[in-house]
Amino acid sequence: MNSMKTVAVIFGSRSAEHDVSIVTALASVIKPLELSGQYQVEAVYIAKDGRWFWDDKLKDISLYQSGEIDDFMRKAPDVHLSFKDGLTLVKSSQFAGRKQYKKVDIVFPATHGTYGEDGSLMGLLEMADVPYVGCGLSASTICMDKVLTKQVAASAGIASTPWIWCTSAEFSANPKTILDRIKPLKYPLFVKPAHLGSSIGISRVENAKELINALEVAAHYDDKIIIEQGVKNLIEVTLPIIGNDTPKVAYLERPMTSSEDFFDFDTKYMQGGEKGKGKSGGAKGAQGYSEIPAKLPKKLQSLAEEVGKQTYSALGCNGIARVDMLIDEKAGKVMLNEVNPLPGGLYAHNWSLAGTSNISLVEQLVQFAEARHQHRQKLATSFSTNYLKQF
Amino acid sequence: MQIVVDSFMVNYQRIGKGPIIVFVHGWGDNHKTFLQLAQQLSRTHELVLLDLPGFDGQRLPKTWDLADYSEFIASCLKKIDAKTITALIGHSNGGAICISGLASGTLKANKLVLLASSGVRDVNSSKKSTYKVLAKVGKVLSRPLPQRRRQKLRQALYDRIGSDYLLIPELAETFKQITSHDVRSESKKVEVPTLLLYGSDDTATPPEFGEILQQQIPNSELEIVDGADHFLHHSHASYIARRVAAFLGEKQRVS
Repeated sequence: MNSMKTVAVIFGSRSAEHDVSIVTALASVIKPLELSGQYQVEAVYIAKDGRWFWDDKLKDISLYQSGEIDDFMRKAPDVHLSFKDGLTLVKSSQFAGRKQYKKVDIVFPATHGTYGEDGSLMGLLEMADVPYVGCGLSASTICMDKVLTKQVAASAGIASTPWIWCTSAEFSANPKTILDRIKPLKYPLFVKPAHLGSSIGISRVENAKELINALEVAAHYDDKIIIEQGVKNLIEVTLPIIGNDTPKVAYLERPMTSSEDFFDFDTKYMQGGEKGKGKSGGAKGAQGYSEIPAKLPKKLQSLAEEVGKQTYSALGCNGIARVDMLIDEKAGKVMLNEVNPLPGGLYAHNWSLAGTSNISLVEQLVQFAEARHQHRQKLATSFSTNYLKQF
Repeated sequence: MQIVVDSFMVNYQRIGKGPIIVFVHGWGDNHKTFLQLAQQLSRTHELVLLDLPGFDGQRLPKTWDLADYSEFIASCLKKIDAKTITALIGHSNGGAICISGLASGTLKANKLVLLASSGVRDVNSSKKSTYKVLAKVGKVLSRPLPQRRRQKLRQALYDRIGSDYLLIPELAETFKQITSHDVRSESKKVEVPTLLLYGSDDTATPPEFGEILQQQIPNSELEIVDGADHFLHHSHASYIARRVAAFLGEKQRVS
């Protein structure tokens, strides 16, 4: 028992996707890690106000569903982090004020969106020099910024649909200039906050009036906005990928929605894919009703898998990510849409169909984390200089 | 769909084609309360269903009155270019907002439908006063109890009164402001044809409220829906849809 490695699963945080993160952590990470019998799992919950908690009770979904989490947080001690020899969780014990310590061997971030998936948590874990699952600091930051994603991908020769971006401040100060810049794009357009996931704040617009409203909505959520031209003859696909230097793909998955019916937050997480219901050949996944594997011509399928893997590598992804692509079926063209560095529920439903169980998935992800950390340990991070003596 | 109005992010739906009907939901509710009704009415009308601010976690900058809500709705309608409104349909507090908005001219519509509308305030006042005294005494006596337990006791008491005071604690002041606003005098200024529908088993806004408002609104008709409670548009959705369609002068194309 004592030889088991300790994995701290961190979830929640100050994010619009806070609740989605709880479900990912509890159902798709903690449970399979415990079932593997290989790890001692510690649940570390970051509340919406940014406070950290660490307790076995946090593994129970009913704590959140019943609202008892508020009572728990009122009574529970805050968690402190020690970076001595890696990462150690510290909290006051209930007994005589003694402190309780838990040395963490591996961290499994299960946060979505801001203050977690966006690289901020990864920065903290890099400072602690602890192995952690998933994309590193820079890849997370790039993936969580739709503009940076497309800029980096373009530099690697990966195509996207025509797009422009602006800051919310630019739009507020001079909307006409921004509208003029958007003019070369053809309707319908998709207006998105650059940093948010789960389709929050995304609008599909058909005309200039709707465009202004959509820009206001995106600016309400984010300081950076991306405006993308819609794709004709659209097939939308997503590709879950795991691995470090050698990416391994699951099945191409096709959300069963039409372009008029693109995934919004409700469809993704609240309705269980109601909009796609009734169409044949699908399965219920984290994003609702999907076709897995996507029924595509062999050539397009290979091309999409290749674009997915190229994107994964170009952006420096490690461990796990999901690459979303837009396919113009008639033109036979595959374009990058966006990359999700920590897919909701790890896309375990897809991996499971592809032959990787949820338990095997989390075990592999932990192994990738350790391998990356070992590799980084070999890199020189300090140099002897006589700079201070010269000062 | 979303729009930004007066710095609030507003969720709304615009469905169907035809003359425009605007739906105004009640306290602590959202536009989805009308979805059953909307499903049937969207065959003959364009429906605008929107969420009022404050009930979705967004904070109101100040204590709001009915007038603030009706001005907000007017701003939303302007923003989405919904110009000529065939009918306003308000449920509960949404009904009081519609009455206030039409009376002041902030809102304009050809017809009004009130579903279990609130706005009549001082009926059963002696009963409510008794509970208010009980609430104050209980507040002192329950102090030693854990906060969650105290909150549950308070909620139980307010539920007993039939009050939504504690439904959204952040809006307690706005709730007090609104529930002290009686719309009887304003309802006399509502000139458009008005249909009032109340549930016979409604304890939050009993049929008596409907009778009072019907006497005030010049061109109005009242129907008490047998066996229905406060959410008559849920339990009797098909009937309400047919009744509303008939009132709006449409053929009964709804099922």
